[in-house]
Amino acid sequence: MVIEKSIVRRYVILSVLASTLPVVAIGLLYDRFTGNALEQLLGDKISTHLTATANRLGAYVEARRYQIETLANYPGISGFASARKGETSDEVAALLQIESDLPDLYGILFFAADGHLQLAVPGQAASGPPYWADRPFATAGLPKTTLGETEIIGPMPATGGDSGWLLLRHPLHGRQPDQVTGYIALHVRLASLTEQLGANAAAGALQPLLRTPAGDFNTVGQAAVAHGEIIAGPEILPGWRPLLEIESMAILKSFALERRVLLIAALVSAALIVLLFYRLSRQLRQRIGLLLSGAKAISSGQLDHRIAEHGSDEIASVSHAFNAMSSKLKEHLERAVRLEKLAVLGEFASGIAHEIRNPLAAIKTSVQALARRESDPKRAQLLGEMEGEIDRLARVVSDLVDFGRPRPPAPGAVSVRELARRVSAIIEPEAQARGVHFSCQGNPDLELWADPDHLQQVVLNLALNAVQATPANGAVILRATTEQGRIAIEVKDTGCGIPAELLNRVSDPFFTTKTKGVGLGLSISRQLCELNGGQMTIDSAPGHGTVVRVLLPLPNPATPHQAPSCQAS
Amino acid sequence: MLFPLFFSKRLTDLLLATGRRAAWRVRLAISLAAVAWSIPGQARIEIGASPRTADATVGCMFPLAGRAAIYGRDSIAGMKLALADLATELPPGTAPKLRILVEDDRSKASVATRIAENFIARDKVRFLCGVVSSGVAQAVSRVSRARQVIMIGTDHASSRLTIEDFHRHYFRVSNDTYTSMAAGARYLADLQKTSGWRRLAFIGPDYDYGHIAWRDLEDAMASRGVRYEMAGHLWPRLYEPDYTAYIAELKAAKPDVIVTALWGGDFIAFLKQALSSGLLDKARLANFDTGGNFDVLASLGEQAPPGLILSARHHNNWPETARNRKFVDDFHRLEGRFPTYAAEGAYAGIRAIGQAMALAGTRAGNEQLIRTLEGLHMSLPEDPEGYVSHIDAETHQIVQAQAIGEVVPNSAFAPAKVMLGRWVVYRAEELQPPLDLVRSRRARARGDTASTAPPPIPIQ
Repeated sequence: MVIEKSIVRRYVILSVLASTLPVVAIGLLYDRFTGNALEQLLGDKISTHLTATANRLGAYVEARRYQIETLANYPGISGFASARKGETSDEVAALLQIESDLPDLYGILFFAADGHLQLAVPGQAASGPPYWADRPFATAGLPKTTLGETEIIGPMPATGGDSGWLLLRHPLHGRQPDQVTGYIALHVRLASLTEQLGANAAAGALQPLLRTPAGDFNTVGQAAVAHGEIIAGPEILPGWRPLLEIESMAILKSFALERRVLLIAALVSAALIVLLFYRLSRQLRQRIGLLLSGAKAISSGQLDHRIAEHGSDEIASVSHAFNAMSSKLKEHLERAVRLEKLAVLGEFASGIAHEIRNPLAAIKTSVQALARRESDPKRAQLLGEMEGEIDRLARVVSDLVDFGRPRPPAPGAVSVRELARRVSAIIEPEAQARGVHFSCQGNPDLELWADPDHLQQVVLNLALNAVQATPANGAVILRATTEQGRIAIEVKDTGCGIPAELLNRVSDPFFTTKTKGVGLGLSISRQLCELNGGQMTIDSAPGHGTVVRVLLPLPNPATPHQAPSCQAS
Repeated sequence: MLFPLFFSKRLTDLLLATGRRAAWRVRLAISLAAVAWSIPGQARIEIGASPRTADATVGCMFPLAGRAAIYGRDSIAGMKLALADLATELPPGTAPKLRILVEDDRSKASVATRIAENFIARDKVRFLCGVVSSGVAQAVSRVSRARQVIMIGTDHASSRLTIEDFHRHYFRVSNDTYTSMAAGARYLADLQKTSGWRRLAFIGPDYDYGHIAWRDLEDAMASRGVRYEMAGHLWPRLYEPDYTAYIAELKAAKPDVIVTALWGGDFIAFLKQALSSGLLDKARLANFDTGGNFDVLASLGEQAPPGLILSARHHNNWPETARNRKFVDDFHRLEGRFPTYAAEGAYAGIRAIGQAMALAGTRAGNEQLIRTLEGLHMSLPEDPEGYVSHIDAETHQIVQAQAIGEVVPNSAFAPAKVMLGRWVVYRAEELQPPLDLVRSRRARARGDTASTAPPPIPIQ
């Protein structure tokens, strides 16, 4: 059967939508937020920041330029480098010492007119060349930027263990203003200039850089290669300008990461939900399919069909209810069939009995009369045997009558002790005659609710069958116990047992495996048992004996139990 | 030194505003005023014998204000202890009467040069001593060489002073960068075997001390065959107030080990920023020359950051000898606090002068004193049991052992809550520069080699 509008499918679709739509909505909001943040960061503030940075850098360069220009014009400076030892001016030397005693300066250098380095006045921060000659110091090849009369040479990037630097070199004039006798230069710490770039505007996202003719440098004076988007600030000198490297990935790093995580989370959760509901729907459909096929089987008469029960959920409960329903249905049907069968048989047997009983009585009377007059002992014996057979026929007929029209039960409390006593009294002689040990076990103080005559007849029937089916030296046990709120009367023998294929038929009317008897004993016993609201079961296996168990209700005078079938009978 | 800095930056702006013609005159006047201001009339501290009774006058220069002031104060206390010990430990009547003058060099070469010149010219000092910054010490050493006055360096460490810039009148009585970096290289080599570190970064102050510390470490690592990948060199200025940009660079470089030559207040400031920034979560920080100083350990409070590798020129809790305990206890009795390594350096300086004069005679000339100092043996607080420090005749550098440790909880030296422990000690003999290395460095500095290095530039 095809389900046109599966509620399971609809439930899956709705669940997926309900779980993914909010995530998508939050993701869109995040997108918008990051977009706005980026726009804000890249907006006017950057332009203002770059202008301010350019001003700081320009002011620093201008201060150094003014310093070197002032020194260059100081009397005695121009001849200081070329003065012979002992002829140098102490005053100039002191001034140079003070001027170079700054953490921003490595020292003050003097160059000859041809550019040859003449003299180095080390400052407090002096290190490496040219103050120590173990490594070369050269200005050749470094870019030059002109700022009025002053030249900016460099910057020289940091190499190995040496710091980066730049020179601000100013010409020294002789007596003639146009005559250049040499140069004086401030040996400036490059990092002191790049530190003017200031701290990162947004750490990790905006990297301030100084662009120079020798390359780009970061805040701590290290050569840097820009990878991100570059925003250039105003030029402070030809080829010199502050930059802001925007590492858009860095700006968006956290946002992008969160977005990615969000997206992955949404996809994973949606996939999980789809998978989960797909599996769930498959399971549901399979199990509902089983229910449907079970219902179909039952409707087609397969009352033995059982639906597999898994777990303890609603579907398992429905399956259980289905199975219980089919069991009950089968039981009712079987009982109805059996009752119908018994009713037909009973009516037939009653009719037969009625037709046979009266002639049989007449025959018996005639045979008795003949036997009284007969003097020949042989004939008298034959007549006696005839009378015995007539009695046996009469009992069969009586059984038939009882089977066809059972007496309605008159239930009352029956003492197990009394029942056992009576049965023992009857059975024990027969058992002894057959060499079978008969015993009563269980709780003799129990009482049960049944018609006493019916019950005695049932138990006698069962016990007699057991004794007859048990070979010599075997045992037959009559036991009474309480079982699930009812009284169980059990007759157990050590006989040959009943084959499985016959077990379902032994209580059918007229079925017997014995050479004597008409096969009504068990049928009548089952019939009487059911009339008294009881149940009879037979367990047997060839070679292991047979156990017949009769379950009957406990005494309950307030609500005497009477089986409906009994009333119907 | 704030004064010249103030004039150099602020005044330049003023000069820009007042016009160029008169500018140089204004600047000159202020510069000369600065020189004049920094010399006479400046507060000076005198300890020891009076001018009339003194056998010799010692002129010392230390910073007495600013970040490095603690070094000056501790040095003065150390010198007082040295005078007392000389009087009690030398045979009666042989201890020279020393008059010690101390002036604030403001960590400025120009100021220290002028002070030294005045010590020599006006106070007729027979010895110059002290100086914390190597940059300042080089300037004073040049005065010492020019004026042929013996200088006893107590607290600066650039190895150039005893190798490239060596002269007969200069002696140093505290471990230099060669010694500490030789010990550091050995420590790092051993550490590499256990931790497998590969990437090394160096951050040092941007003046000669920082750069020569790196060169010494680089050479020592090469001589030990330590293989590593250089993650970067960073050179913040001396007395840098904010290390944010440098720490960002270090974090970006992702080193396994960071070696620093920052010292004093600079190292404390750097360490605090490094700890708060998480820099040391993934890298070990080593400071082999000055990092184990008492003021650094006291600044850590109760923190004992794992991974810190420190040493210094003197430790209050190593070696555990009677002499070291006496020195630390005497200092604590005198000052009410525990000493930084500067105290022991200054103590050693005065001990060297006193013992040399006792041996050579109070009337001995410079040459005789120099010969006495060359090879002088003296027992000092930082000598481990069984070892006596001595001055190497070739370099005039004191030869001492070095102990490197890690930070461990220890409240025996209040206010410090942590001290160094888990010591690794390197013998003095293994930390001395080989003679051929000394000579080759001096030859390179003179331009004697066939390298492309230019000849030395005349320094005024």
